[in-house]
Amino acid sequence: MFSKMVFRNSVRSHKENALFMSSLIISIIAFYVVLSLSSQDVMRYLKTLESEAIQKLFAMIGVLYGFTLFIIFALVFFASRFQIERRSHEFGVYIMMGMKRSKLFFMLLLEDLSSSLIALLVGLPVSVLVTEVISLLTVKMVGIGFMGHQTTFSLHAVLLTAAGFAAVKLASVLILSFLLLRKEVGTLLSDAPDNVRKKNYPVIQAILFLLGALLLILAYRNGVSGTAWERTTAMGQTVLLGIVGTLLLFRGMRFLIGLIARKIPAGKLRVFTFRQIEDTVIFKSGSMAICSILILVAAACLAAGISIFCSFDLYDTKRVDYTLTNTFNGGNTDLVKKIDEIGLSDKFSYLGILRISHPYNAVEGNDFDSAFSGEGFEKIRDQLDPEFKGHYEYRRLDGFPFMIRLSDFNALMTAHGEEAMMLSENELGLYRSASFNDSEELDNEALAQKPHVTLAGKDFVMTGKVQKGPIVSDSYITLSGALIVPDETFDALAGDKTEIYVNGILDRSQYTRDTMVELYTEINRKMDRFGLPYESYLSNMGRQLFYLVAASYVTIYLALIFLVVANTILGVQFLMGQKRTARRYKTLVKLGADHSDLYSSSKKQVNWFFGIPILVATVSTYFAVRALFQGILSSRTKLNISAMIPIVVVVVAVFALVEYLYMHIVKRSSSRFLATLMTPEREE
Amino acid sequence: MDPVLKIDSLKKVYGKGENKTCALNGISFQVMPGEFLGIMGASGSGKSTLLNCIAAVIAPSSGSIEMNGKEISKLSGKKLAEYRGKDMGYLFQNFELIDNLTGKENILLPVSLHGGNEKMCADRLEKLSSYLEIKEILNKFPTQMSGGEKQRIAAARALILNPGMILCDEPTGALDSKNAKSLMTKLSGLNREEEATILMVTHDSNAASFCSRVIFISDGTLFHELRREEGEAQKAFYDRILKVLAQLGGGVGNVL
Repeated sequence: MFSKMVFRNSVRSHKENALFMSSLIISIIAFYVVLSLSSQDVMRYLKTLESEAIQKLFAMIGVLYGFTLFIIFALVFFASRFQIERRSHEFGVYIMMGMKRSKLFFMLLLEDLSSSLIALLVGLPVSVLVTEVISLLTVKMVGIGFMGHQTTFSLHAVLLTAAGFAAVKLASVLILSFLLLRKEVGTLLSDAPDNVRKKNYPVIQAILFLLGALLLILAYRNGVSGTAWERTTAMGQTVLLGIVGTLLLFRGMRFLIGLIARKIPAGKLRVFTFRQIEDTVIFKSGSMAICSILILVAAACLAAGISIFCSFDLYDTKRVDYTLTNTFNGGNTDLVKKIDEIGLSDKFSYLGILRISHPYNAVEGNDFDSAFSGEGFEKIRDQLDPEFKGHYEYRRLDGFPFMIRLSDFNALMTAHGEEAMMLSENELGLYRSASFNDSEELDNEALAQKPHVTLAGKDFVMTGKVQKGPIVSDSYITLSGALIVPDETFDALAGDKTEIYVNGILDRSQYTRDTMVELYTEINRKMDRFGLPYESYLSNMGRQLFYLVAASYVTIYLALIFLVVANTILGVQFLMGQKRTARRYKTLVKLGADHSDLYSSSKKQVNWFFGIPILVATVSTYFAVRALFQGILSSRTKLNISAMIPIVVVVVAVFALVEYLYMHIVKRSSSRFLATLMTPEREE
Repeated sequence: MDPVLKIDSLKKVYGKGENKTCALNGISFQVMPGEFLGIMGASGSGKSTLLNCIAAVIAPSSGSIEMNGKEISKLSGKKLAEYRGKDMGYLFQNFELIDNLTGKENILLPVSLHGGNEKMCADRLEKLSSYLEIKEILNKFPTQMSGGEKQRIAAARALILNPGMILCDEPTGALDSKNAKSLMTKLSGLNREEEATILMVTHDSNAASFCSRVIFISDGTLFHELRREEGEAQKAFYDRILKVLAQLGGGVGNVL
């Protein structure tokens, strides 16, 4: 009898609450996606290139899992609370009929177990499918299709998913049962009392609203102007302004809603619908504000994730594909020959050497600092921008700088399609790697004044524009500053202590965006076989790819989780509120309202309840995304507006779809609930 | 003159086989326009079933209920909803005001549900609110009103569309004697001046003494009927009601 009741109850609750069940299934997917990260094709591939970084990421999965556990707990707790509150009258009846509280608790536990099992049975296959799709999709986008797809299914992930999910469910049912069983039977039996209507103070509401709007505008300004990115405290301040601003805005929104909601199209129950919306704003302003912030975070994460993914265009980057080096002192020229011998030279459009050294022969005794004096250059820079001096001390050229041989450098630049540098014998050029090139403008201004410097006691003039192209394949090997020196001077000063690199640029006609990684892999294999000492751009790319995949994966994942949590909270809050005010609907039925009247009012309420937080979040997202591009993304991405449009379209489409689905589910649940109120009962 | 409400051989049977309970056993009566009819009876006599049948909440097992010539058991969907709100005003024991609407908004709910001439409704609201003395509380919420005020607001709501009949279900049940008397005075005033047809179910003999006719139900059948004579004092009618109630207690159904 007891087990039959448990079974019937749980079947009923699944039928009745699509929102609850979908929340559970989404939780399972969330767990599984995190846990199966290591079996994704792209991760397996990256492991072969960047095993150390990948290990770090896998260690981070634990943190992400913990975070997910916490967020999912909130989700499950909210959804279950609605389930239990909805049935409080039923529980009261059980207790009145003599059911022991311990037995009631046991019943809830069993019902929960059955719903968990069903969710797992549905959720796990869906999760495996979702991760497979993600895996195939990333492989396609990264261009490592030649790797061959391997299933992402992992028993370990399945077990941990089930364990995490069970833990979250158990914790929420324990807390909820404890809260439920502490209540008096009378409280359980009576419908929850209506909220006591707070007095309306329009002036205070208006002040709060305007204050909130002001704080938000300040936060937007900080974000968009870039002030927020200057210091951690400034960022903290901006975030705080945003949060407090949103909370105040919603607190004071009753003022605005009074003005706007009257615009609800005249129809049946217009006033009732307006009052219901007003109630939501009065009593639920806190959760609406929090959901709005969650939606904002989700949108910002999604935009950031997608644009990080799209911005790393490794194909179009100007680069050196291979750099070979084996000895410190000469003799490397035969590497070019060796490449030719093993039949790889036709893969390259450029193969050439690059010599780098320090002015060793200019050193007198042990006084390395006397080799070069860049005072003339620094002086001009200091004059142009006095504040620059303190910040960029390490970018000074004094002492014992790197030297790059002019003809080697020019050959490489020409291969890249750039202009060669023309220097006469008493002139020097300046080189800085791209990552140190934020002083480019200042450097160029200083160079335009042709500053006089001294190298090995000889007077030189610095000229030309500052050079920044890549000089080796590993873009993480950078020079903060080096001199480009005419060949004779270089040879005279470097002596035999010259580092010689052989750089290769792959022939672009031999590969496409999709086959690029494949070609690298093939050449690497061959070079490995013949024992050539090389660095390829692939490992460099692997590292970038790793950051790209990890960053976009995590941000997109978090975006979807936040979105789901926000919508579930909104949905559950709405349905709980509707249940609490069921009496109002019953009265309407007694006055002759039919289901379509109530349903159309309820639909309008859902639109407003979801619409207000989404609207605020949309405005905030616009500024947040602009701020993101201003801050972290701008240094890595030089996206133009037309490239941004598809990203914006994708983000908007994903959001619109998710919101539509949630609103639809809530409307349907609400319609079913209203149908139960349609028979007017005479109360004695 | 045609009756507003015509009830003929109304039967309602709950349950099946051995569990059969006959709540209404062939009741017939009519309500004429402008009449103020009271229905009294002990708990379990079938009062609630009768009221629920008239309000189209439950369907009778046999017999007919005609409101202005329309058989209400044949109504469904939109027509039924319209019947509940437009043809019939309902005054509930526990007021049934919506707590987040002001008094005025509550009164105008039937107008928004069933439609109505706004100008006419505004005039009617003005008239009703001054007669029921609720002008001062029109912009208050139900939580800010006393029980008597709430019931007067509810009465205005029941009357706003000028329905064919007003069904009152223990309207004084949740009121103290002073408020009950004031409400009944207003109702009977409306009955006299507006010729509003009122059907009231009540336990309260005081309230029933405001009626022009009272029928008594016992075990699902009509037990007795009292008509207030022309010029009969309310007190005299009240005494007659008490006598019938005493008989009702000592009649065939008495278990003692």
